[in-house]
Amino acid sequence: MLKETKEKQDQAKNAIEIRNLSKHYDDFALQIDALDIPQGCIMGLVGSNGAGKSTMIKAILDLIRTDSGEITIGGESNQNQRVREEIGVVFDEIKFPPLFTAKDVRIVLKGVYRNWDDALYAHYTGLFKLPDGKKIKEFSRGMKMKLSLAAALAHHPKLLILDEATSGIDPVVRDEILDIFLEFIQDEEHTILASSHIISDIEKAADYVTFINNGRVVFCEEKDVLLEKYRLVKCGHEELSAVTPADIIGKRTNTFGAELLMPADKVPDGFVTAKAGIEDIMLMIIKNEGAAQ
Amino acid sequence: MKGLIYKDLLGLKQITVTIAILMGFYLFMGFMSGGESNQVGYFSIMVLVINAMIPLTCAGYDEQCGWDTFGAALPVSRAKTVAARYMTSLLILAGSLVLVLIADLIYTKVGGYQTNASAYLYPFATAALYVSLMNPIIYRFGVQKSRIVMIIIVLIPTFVGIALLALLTADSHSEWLDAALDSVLENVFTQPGAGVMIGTVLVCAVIYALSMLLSIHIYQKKDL
Repeated sequence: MLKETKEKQDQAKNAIEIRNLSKHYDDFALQIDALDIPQGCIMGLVGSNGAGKSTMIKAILDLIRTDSGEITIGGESNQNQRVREEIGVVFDEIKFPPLFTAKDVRIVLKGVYRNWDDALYAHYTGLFKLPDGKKIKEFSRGMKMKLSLAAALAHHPKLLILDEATSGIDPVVRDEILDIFLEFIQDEEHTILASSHIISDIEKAADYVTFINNGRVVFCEEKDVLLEKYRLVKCGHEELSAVTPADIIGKRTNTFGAELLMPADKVPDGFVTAKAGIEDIMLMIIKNEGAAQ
Repeated sequence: MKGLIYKDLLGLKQITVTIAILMGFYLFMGFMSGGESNQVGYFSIMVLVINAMIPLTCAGYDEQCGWDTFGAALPVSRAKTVAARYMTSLLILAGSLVLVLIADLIYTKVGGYQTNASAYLYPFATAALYVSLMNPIIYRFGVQKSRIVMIIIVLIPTFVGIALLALLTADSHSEWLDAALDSVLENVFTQPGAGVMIGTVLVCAVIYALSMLLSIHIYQKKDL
């Protein structure tokens, strides 16, 4: 009994838990043995095109039929319809008919979500300066994304899932949207899972980073820990021999020498190092895996 | 589910004016066709044919904007999502029937024509069966492929049938066929008995329900 209670408490700390998930397509397979997304954080999901980010998000939202595995959201199966009351979703493109207006979106979603809050929706559409009667097809991309976000937030979700939501919009609008995310996350029960190609957004806002490559999770780390964990090492060809090959996570060579990605604690003394950003880490690992194959 | 029905109906507002104009045109054509009776039959056939196409239109709008992916992330089960589409179709068919009844009233009161229930019963049944056939195909193949599938399973046999009929009736020894056709048409355009009416509605309702169950089965297995 005590063990069950403890397990339930542990589960409640994770907004999303994925166990032994697999989904096979003809040319691609997603395989995630275990992934926990802690409650109260912004989890950035990074990876190249076709790495499996959207497939993972679709699996979490139960949009695809997985071959095996279990996904829980707030401790409940993701197949439970009740769980979806707690989720707000923004995809890379607005999914409402182009002739809809912000008012139509309200009418439709009010009829879907039990917790729909007209005042909150009006607050966000007002904040984003979205006209009530203008057709979506006449909106700019930034306005479309803002409308998607307003629609995703107006039913008081606890989990916000964003699939490339900030791609293709200008830095000013992206910054406005990031501010909304930061405001949303002030409530410690709230969680954001955001996949993005724009690494600067992830670096700016995320607390944790999950890197997916070839359908597998390469790492899932706290962002600050991750940024301290690795170093970029610049060295000449002759200095390269002083480095243990097993300590090299990624390598870029040029005529003058090499740039290495190494664990910070494995860098030999006397080498010139620089902090590795998420993009550096991601690119080096992809390059290294590509070279190994 | 209510929200999904609103979504389909709101999506149709862009073609409301076109449909209203077409209905007005066919109402007028019913007067102009110059027949002696059952003018509303012409109007009801056209109205119900137009409205039976609406599920395809709704699905087309959904496919165009990627609604299916978003819709499946909402707190509505896939079974209810499909049921909402069938409900929308039924509402539109019911609305169409009301329009036909109003038109019938206009034809009888203003035009002085005589009509009977066959004018609504058979077009309504055909439209319901068409929706029952169309929806599972749309859920299985998507809108674009559905158009091709419909051509294969409906239009081609229809054209082949018409061609065969034309060939047979061109034959001077086809009196039996002429007589059979006359008999069918006579029965179709005479006032159906209560048994025929109830039976037709029941058969349509059962097929409609089976079609919905099949669509749910297809949609539940689909990757979106």
